[in-house]
Amino acid sequence: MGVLKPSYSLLVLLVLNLCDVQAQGVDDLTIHYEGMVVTDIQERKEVVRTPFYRHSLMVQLGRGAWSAGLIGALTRGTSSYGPDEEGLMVTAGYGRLLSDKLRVETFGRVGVTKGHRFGSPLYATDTDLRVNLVGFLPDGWGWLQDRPLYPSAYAGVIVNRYGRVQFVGGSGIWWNQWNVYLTGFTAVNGVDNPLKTNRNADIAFANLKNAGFSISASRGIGPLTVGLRHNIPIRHGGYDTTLTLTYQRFFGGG
Amino acid sequence: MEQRLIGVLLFVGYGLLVPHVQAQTYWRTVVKYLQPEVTVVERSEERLVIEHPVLQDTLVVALTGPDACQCDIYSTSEQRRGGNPYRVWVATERFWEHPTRAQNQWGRFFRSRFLQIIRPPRPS
Repeated sequence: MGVLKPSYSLLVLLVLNLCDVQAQGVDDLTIHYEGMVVTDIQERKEVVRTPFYRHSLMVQLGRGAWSAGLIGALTRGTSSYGPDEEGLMVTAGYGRLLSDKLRVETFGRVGVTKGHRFGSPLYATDTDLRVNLVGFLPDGWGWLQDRPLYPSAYAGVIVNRYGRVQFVGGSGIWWNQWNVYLTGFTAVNGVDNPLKTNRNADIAFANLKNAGFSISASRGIGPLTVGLRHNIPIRHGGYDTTLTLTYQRFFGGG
Repeated sequence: MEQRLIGVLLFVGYGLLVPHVQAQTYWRTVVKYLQPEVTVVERSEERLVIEHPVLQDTLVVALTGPDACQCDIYSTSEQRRGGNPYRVWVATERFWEHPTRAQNQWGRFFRSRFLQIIRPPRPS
């Protein structure tokens, strides 16, 4: 086994020191893993079989309305798109209640490692900012097996470092630790033909003018949430399935 | 003139109706889990009073608390990071440690599902 890359060493150091975070006034800790398998890529009207894998691990600390963290990502392909990539991103988030049925949440990521090939689908970091407006019903709506249903919906926008604007929206229901969500997204600008573009070829896949929708389901089991998400592209992007594992621990406040 | 009158009546009616609808929404969970023999004696924006006719006992459920609320159960909001706020129901010491109402009598007011939902008193 080789020496850990610097990006993962930072994450390991952070996890090892987590026992001290409560003493630092931290309200909550989130550890989130995603394992994604991409089987095919939609490029215009053509579907190309291009299997590759992307793993990411995020460690996030929250205090009050703010959160900050690190994401380590690893992309491993079996295609001709080039060598594997690893990367590290720093994150920050902010959430605020606007009313008893509306809240806003923002989340930003900044890639801090260098040498990534954004012209390849195996790129390992993203730099973007997203803002979502979320509507919810704190008292629920409707009943199923004597337990209330909690519907919610959101609409938002994501802007990346290249100025690409994506609109996203979705709705779903939470019931008895189960959560089902349907989400759609579409970019209004970006690279429209990543394999044949002359301009912006070096950022083609990180700046795709993509669109699609995804369906996700998750189940809470104590402090752990296990989820599955499947993405279906309409215009560019991958047919991918992602397994998510989230551990959350609340120390108080939050 | 008639249109203005209708407009005023609609405006006033909306102002009277919306708080009532909201109060209905707040109490929906509590009322859903009441035992059949329990009756609602009072329902307002601030509180819900329920009575058990056989036990001759009443419970007061308040929207806000616990400070200065003469209530047995109150509601508050909880939110976990990454999720939406939701209403929870918390018992006060007055309910939890009642001198004459034993814990095994709570089920005569509420169905078991609500007893699983309700939170114990929180330290002040």
